[in-house]
Amino acid sequence: MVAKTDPSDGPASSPPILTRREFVRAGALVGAGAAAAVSAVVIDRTTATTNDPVGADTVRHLPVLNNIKPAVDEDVLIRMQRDLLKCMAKPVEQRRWVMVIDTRKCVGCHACTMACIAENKLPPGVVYRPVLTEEFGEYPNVQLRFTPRPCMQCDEPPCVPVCPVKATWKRPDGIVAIDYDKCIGCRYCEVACPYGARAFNWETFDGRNPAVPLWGETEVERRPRGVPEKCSFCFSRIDRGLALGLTPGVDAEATPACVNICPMGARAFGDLNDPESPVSRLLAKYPSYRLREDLGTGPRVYYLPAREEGAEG
Amino acid sequence: MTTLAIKPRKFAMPGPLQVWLAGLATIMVAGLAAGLIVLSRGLVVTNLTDLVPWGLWITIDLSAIAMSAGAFSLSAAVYLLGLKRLAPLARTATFIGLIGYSMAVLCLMLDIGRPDRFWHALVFWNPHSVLWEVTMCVTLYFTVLVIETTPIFGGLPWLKRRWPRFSNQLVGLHRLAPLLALVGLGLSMLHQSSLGATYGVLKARPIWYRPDLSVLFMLSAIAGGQALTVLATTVTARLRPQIKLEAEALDKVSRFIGWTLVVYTYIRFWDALSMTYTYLPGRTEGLRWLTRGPFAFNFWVGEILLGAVVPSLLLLAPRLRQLGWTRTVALALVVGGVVAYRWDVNLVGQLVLLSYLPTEITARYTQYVPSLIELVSGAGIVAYGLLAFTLGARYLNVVDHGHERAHATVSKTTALPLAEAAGAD
Repeated sequence: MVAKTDPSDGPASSPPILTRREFVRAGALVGAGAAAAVSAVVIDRTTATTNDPVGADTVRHLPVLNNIKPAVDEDVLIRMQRDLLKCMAKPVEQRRWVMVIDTRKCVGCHACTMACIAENKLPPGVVYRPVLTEEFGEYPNVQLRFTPRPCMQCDEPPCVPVCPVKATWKRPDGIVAIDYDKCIGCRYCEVACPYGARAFNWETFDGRNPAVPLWGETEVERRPRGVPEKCSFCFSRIDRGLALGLTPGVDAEATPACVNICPMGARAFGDLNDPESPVSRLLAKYPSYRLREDLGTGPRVYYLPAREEGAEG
Repeated sequence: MTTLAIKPRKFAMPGPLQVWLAGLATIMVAGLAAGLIVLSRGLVVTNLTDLVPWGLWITIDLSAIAMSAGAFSLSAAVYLLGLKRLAPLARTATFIGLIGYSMAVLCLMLDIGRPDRFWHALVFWNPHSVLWEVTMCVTLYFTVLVIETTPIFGGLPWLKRRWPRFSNQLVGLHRLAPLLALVGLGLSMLHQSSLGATYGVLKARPIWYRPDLSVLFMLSAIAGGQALTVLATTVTARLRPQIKLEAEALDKVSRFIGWTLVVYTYIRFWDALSMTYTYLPGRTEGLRWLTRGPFAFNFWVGEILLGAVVPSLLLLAPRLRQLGWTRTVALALVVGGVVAYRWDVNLVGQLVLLSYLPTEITARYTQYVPSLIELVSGAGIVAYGLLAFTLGARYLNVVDHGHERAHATVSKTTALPLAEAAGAD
């Protein structure tokens, strides 16, 4: 079937596979298409989202109140606006939520783990904050140290830049959040996290959760199958508490569940940008360490090491 | 000799081809059933855990993409460097590439937790993510491969008889080959190396955290992809004696694979040796697992000895290479070595974990053995690849070194005689 042909008669030499005109035209077409696609995406991405709760466009000052003097029997709407202003006085992006865990006080009771399961409605087998046990020394001189390990809410979270769909991001107040509706379940974030803080939903769970008390459920959405989840510093409690004018770390309603439950008071929570917050005071008073600081992740969970009895002021 | 010849034998004993196809189809059906179980019950049916979230499927995915690298490298050689003699090989490689990338897509559809959202990466961009870049490049390059292989499908004898004009239009898309080769080269260089970088950027896993992975993934993909192309060509020609081969072109490419392996082995050793100088928690333990632990056989025999050293010797010594069977064996070894490399890289970083407790940074070890469902569905995907290539070789003439020239000279003038010729082939 194949006739012996002159080598110059090959597939490309005659006729030319693509004339210069065709090449230029095709190139221009591809270039125009690419430019159109890129500009469409850039325009789409630079347009401000309307439901963004933070940022320069957020209304923070209601000048109308400047002319109204506070009164005891003022209108309830005016009162509400005053409260709103109060809780917006410090923008959320200037907050710096931090957890301090005192390993000297922790007795390893796992109450925090249970409170977290009930608060966040964790499916069976998933734990956001295990309490790890270490043993030092030899019998009879044995010491135990318990290290509760929530998500570190890193300043440079390794899980965020790797996500191919931007389903996980750092909120302006530093909490690393997950969009369960965006996530494709590739588990790159799980591989990237040095703390093993993320747990994947390997199977569907829609039964009643035995860990959630019968008298009430929190307003935390259940995660679908096929996405990872992790400790969120209970940001639903923080957000709701702030809207009510409460102070996270001081008022229990605005504080993560694990901090509230701890029977030893071994942990504190608060805004590190506020010098009066419980965490600022603790960290000013005692030395502290963080886990795997050498990785440069900048964890926001601080641990207070064991120290002499009575050294606590 | 094609369709007509089969009819009289319709009720006779099935030939080896039919047995082969039936076997593959059986595995595919089993794989399909396993895949449906995965989709309905979720990833709980796998042995993947939060500690080892990437397992067998990711290895198949990485290997399939590596095996497809012949498409971009040979197309670039033909249409950008002007090595016209390799054109028939590039045609085969492109077809293998199309199969390989579709295999990779199938693997990922099983592997991601939300296959219904596979398109999210195309809409919600995160340019910081290596995996996003890989997804975009793979999607775009898959499109390039579809256009590149359209002339092959357009040349289907049945289509030529039925709609000769449409068939000619499809075959005519071959004009775009140089442009596609250029685009494909860029996209492939980007994602073949980025697949290595996917691992290489993770500081949490010290055995992965080094820039060499990108280079090694790239080089091994070029060697493995071209090896599979030449191997598939040789085996097909052996089974279908009427196929004409350009022996010299195959020989040249085989020698090139040999040299690529030498460069790969050099960088691989340099990379491994440099890791032995200082103790780095996690990395040293990982290297120990590779060289002395559970991966030792896979590493020394599968990757280094049989995967790189032996084939590069067989392919570079002219007398050995031209023996014929030695070249085939060497190429098969290269393919196996690349798969072993992908398996080792993927798993060693996950099985050796680092503790994060403050006392001492120590390595911990974990286990992963694929579940039956993972194995069956993975086998189904591989069977699909083999089946698709067999059908392509049988009905689309993807391996035919006489075809290209006849096509290029004849199709410009008359389409019908070629259709008849192909039908009677």
